[in-house]
Amino acid sequence: MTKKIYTVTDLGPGDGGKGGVVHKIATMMRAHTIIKVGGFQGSHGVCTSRGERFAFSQWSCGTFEGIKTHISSRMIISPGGLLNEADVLRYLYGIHDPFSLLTIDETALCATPYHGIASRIKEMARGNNPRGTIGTGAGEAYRYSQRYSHLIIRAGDLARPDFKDLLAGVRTQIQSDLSQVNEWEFLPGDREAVEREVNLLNDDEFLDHIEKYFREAAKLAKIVGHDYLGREILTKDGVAVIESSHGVLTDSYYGFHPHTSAIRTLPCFTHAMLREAGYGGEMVNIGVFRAYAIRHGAGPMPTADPKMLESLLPDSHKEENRFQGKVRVGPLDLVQLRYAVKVCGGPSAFDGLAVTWFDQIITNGEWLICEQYPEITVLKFPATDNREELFTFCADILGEKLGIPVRMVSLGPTEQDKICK
Amino acid sequence: MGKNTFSRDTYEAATKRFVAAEGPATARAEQKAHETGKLNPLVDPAGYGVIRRSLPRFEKQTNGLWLLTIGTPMPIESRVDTTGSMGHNVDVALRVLPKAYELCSGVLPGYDLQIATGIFGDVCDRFVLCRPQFEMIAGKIVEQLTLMVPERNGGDRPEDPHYGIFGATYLTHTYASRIGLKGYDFTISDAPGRDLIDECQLKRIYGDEIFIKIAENGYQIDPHSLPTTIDVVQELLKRAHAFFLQVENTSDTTEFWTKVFGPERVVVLPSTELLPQVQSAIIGLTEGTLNLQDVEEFLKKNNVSDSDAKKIVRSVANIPIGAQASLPNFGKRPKKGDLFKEKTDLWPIDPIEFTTESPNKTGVPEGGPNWL
Repeated sequence: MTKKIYTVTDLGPGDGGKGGVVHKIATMMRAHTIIKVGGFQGSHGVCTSRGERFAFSQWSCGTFEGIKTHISSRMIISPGGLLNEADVLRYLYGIHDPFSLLTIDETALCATPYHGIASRIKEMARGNNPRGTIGTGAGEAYRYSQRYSHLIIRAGDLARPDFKDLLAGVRTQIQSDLSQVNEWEFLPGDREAVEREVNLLNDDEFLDHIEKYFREAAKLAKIVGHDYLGREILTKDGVAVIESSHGVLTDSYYGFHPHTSAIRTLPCFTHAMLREAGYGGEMVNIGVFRAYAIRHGAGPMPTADPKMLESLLPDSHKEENRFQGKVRVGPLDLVQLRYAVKVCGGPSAFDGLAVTWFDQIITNGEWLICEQYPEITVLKFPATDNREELFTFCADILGEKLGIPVRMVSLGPTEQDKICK
Repeated sequence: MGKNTFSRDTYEAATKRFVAAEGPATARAEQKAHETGKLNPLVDPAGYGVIRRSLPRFEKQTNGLWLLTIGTPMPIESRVDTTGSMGHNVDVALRVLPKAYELCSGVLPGYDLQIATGIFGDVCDRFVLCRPQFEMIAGKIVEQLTLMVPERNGGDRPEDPHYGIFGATYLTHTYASRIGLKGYDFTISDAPGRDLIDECQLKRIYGDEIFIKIAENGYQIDPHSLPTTIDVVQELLKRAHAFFLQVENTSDTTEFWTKVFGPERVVVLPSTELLPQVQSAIIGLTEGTLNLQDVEEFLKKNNVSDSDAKKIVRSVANIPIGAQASLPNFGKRPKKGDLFKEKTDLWPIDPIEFTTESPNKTGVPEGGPNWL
């Protein structure tokens, strides 16, 4: 047996279809573990050939297959969210003991609802110039951890006797940071929401509630030492998959400021984590993106074309929320893709590409690609519904334009619709 | 995934954790409901996708197959009247829970017991129904019982358990029924019910998406032509051994429920405290794991008085004895340790097939592990 790790990296600003790709690789290669990095706010959709359909947050996209999830030290978790996700998995999908499939590195950073409140209030204070956030507090927890080391809550702290004091300390700091909130300007439509957030922040019963839920999560979850990754997971024969949140274009350094995540999203940081854990086996790096450009949230999107929304996203994902705004789509942006590949180390940093949602392009009959702004090339499909030929058509074009071989093309929602070569 | 089952130890730990030292077990939930006007989603009939599911528990094996960890899941859904004088019934159900589990598991050997004990009130109450999830471990069953919000002082005659029976019929998905077996369903009350079901009440209880969910679960119901209570029970009987357990001997109650369930499915329950004994006697007789001549002794051995035991025996003598055992697939039901190719498959693979088939047919996905 060999040891092999697949790293799946979104080469866009997120929403690239990582969920289905991770699920496909983990299923096909019979992975023993999926290792999560990034933040819990990532929602990774999986649709199985058995009919299950769920957007995973903290459990990995291999959960329906009974594959174990390890939340690494490079993941920001929501302990309360773990309880909610576990109940959904239990009652809707018959995964009766989801915590038995989960281990959490004791050093994983915990976001609290207070970080979420701070994130949402700050975003609302930006009025019509949003940074682009989901507002769950994952990024805010990271930023606070950089600023106030004494207020860091890690998974291993959840069972501490003085945990409530730590939590209260986070709240006090956020209360202090937001003490002038009454003088800030907000859009008229946001004022009521801000007031609700402030009330929650100051509600002592809410503090008790959070403590109770966090402690409950700590009881149910198997929180393991930082060396568990190297000692127990990476020493196993077989395959593991790295499932990361976000995309390269929201990397805190190489992303487009200010529309970036607080964390680093490049695969080299994951590789460093594996090296630090003593891993010396084979690594396979897969870059993922949709066959068209997509962005949910603020940030530059030169090829955005509102007219393409209905044809590319029929009946789905068009809901607007206060923090991410509308989903935007447009022709595949090879300029941004090349940039993403370059900041990851160039084409040689990847062993293959996985192109998702190609079926939607096929349905529409033409493929719009932008090689340089503002020119759009329209590609016509060969007259075939042969999956092999469609794969080759996609692979030849993108392989040539990006210098990386295409190894997976998604022609539908389930793992059976993903063609791998 | 998961292989824990109910035990006295975990029950004790759960009651310590979820039940307040003083007052009714549901005190916290009642207070919360008073503040928010809402039920906890675990017991809200509209919560967690509306449909209640009783599914097998599997563990994925390294060869890609799914191992059944406990046995064929057997759902036992009960809805207990908590109106008026029956307002304390959640505390009773909680108290007798270990006995209920032990007795039922004794007459259901080899099954994975999945229990959902809810409560019902009246349409004029704040909450007409609390419908929990099917559960198999003490912590979750106890937690859900403590999340119920009984009306206590409310309730008139008749009552409205038929909304709970409606959910049991059209909003329940069970593996047992997929393989041609039936689960168990009990309605416990001292009052008659009503004949008709109202669309507005259904939406109030189960949410606006109720008819979409019913369709998702494989039934077609026209909201403008709803089935009657009798129709609903007749449909329920296709997937469950359903019974009305009558507390107190009032003629209007007997008359109403006999009309709905048939006389053979209305069984006397001398008091809610004896729910475990009566349920297990019914289940044992239906499964063929208890003989009618042994029922009286079985009841007496389990703390039922002589007179109550005689009453119960007279009552259960008329139920469809052996009804489960006579179902064609009864002897074929999967057992602990059986291997399934897919977790959604109806039947396990034949062990012979497993040893002789090529690897591809036993779970190795096509494409194999040769990609990259």
